[in-house]
Amino acid sequence: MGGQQRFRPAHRLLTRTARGYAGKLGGRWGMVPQPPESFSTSVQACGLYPFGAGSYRPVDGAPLGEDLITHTAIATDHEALYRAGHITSPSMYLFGINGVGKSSTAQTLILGMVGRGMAPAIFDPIKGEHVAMARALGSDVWEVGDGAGKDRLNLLSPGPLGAAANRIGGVIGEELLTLALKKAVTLTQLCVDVARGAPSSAMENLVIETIVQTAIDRNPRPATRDLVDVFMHPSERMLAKSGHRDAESFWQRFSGENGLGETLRTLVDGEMGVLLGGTDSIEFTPGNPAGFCFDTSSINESNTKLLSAAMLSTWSLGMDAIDAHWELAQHESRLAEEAQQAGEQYEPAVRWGGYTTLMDEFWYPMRACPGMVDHVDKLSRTNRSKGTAELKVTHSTKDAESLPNEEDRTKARGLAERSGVIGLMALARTDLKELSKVRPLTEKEIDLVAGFSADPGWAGGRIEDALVARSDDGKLPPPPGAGKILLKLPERIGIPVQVRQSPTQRRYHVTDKRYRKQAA
Amino acid sequence: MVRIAYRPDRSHEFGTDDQTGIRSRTRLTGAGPDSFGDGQRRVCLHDGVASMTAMMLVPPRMHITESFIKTLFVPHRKFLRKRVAMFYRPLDGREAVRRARQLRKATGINASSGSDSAFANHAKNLSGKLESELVSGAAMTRFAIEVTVTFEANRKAYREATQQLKQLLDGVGLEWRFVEVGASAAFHSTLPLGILPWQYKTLLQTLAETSN
Repeated sequence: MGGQQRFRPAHRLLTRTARGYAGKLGGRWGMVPQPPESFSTSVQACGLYPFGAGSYRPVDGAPLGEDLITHTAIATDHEALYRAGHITSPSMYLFGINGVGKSSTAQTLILGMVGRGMAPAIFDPIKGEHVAMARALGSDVWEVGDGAGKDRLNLLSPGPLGAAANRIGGVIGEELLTLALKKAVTLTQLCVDVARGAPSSAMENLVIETIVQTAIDRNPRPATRDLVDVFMHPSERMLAKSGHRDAESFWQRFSGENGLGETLRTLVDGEMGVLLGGTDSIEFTPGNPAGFCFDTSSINESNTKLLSAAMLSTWSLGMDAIDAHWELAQHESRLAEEAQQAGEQYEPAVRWGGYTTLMDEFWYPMRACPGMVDHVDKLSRTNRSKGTAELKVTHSTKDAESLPNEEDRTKARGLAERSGVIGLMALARTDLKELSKVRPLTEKEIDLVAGFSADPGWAGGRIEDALVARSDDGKLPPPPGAGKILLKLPERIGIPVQVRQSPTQRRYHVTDKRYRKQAA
Repeated sequence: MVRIAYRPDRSHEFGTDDQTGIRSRTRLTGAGPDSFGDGQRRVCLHDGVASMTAMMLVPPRMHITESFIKTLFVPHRKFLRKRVAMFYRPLDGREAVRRARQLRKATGINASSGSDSAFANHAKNLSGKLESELVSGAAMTRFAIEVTVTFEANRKAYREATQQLKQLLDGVGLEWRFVEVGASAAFHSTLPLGILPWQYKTLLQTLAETSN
């Protein structure tokens, strides 16, 4: 009998009581400590009210940081908010003065979305600060510029759509090739306008279309310089479309000062020639799940024509790459379905996870490149159908107001209005009042954002202090307001967030290299 | 929350599971620790980490506003987990008035028994104020606060956690003490498991409270 008791399971020897199991190793508490109770009225202890509705904070997006007021963790982004049905378009417009961490915040948002399977599409116009991160992600990085070793553009390249067409083939492939041709025509027309500094006439646009068509027909791998060759040797189609009987009369009509022939030559041999006139060009292989990054920072800021051409071209290429990725993913998905029906297995080589675009320093392309606002405006109206979340980063509303023409100004204002989320980093009170017209802000919200950059004191102002306060990676202490952002959704109270950068992100995002060198 | 309370090192895993839609099938009764040791006085050891609990003795002598709670409730980097339990027991109107009268009576006795000092008068004024607030529509509540912190189970982490907890509690201006006996019971009473300390009050504890 005694032997049986020794092998009886332990819990059979224990008795369940209100304070736990009584018996050896049961863990029953001898007593429960009694915290003394205090009495108070609701006037004296007005802060102690445990039935308050907790303020919900979104937690299913990019891990951003913590709430500035409640210190709750916040993980959100415009794509996650759109998916959750909180906003009508997956877009964000980020405003903030210099050096408060707009680009870092943008990277945190992008990385969060990339972590969910979206591909990044980064347009880095003047600083080249996202290149390291993009390379680390495995993105296709194109450093577009006029210097040695830089990537050059080919206006006549069928681009990503052509590459996708070759892989897909059939009717869809034909459609894609037609679309690629149309894109090449539009891009050439835009670059002609930029080079000339004035819009082309309807007839000139028609001639450009036929020149592009002829160049593609004559050469299996057409390059920008073929435009001039074709102009010098016009095809029958070109003559017929332009209403000329022979090449002589054609040249007479379209040559001359600032004529089409002269403009095409400047595209190939002029200052723009170093960017557009090369025989090597960017050849996209669409479908990279790590997306792409265009860096135009090597182009001198004073060379607005070159910059405009580079930005228009890269923007066009980027959007084509997104469309091509979608078509390829659809094609691969069809192959997988067909294989399944045939009882076989096929692993799609390209999958679609959506894109997340980042247009950093957006004030710059807006100002330097007439027509860019129009392109972005189109995307902002169709981003949902394109499966693209878009993030634009700029300084303030004044950037839109300072555009040279009224049409661009109106469109730029509309961009902010249509943004699902507006992110407000440290801003001047006047800017906030102005923004309040677009997205109403309460007085408290305005006070909060205007106070982001308030320095609590003068400590650390000396260079010696700054050197001491440097972190391990050599970064100087952050300025006041760094990483503080108010996320403002339509008709909702703003969410103030202190954005946190991960150490890895800090390592890949260096925006003050010269300053660090100086301080070292 | 209960599982993370025992195993804060696995919070990342539980969070990721939650994000990716993996739902735990663990029931509350199965969420307990693999081991729990209560033999170190104020420190209890559980699943490789340690916890200790402090309780409020006297609330701050000021208006207790939301900023007081905020200081106490915000996450603290020095702890693996910090849990603040507030026991909030509203009194019905009749009981509130009875308590207020009792208080006024007590302060009146003190004042009339010769201790007619400024302190006694102040207490008397406070009791008058309390009654006046109740008459004006305020409610009365009794409340208690316990704070449990979890840290790594080594001496260095224990020293740091003790220091940080002391600073935190002193910073909000309340009188407090560590729970030195029954640390495991205190640990569990700050979890949202429905363990209400007053339901486990012994006769001795009731007598001690009455004498206070």
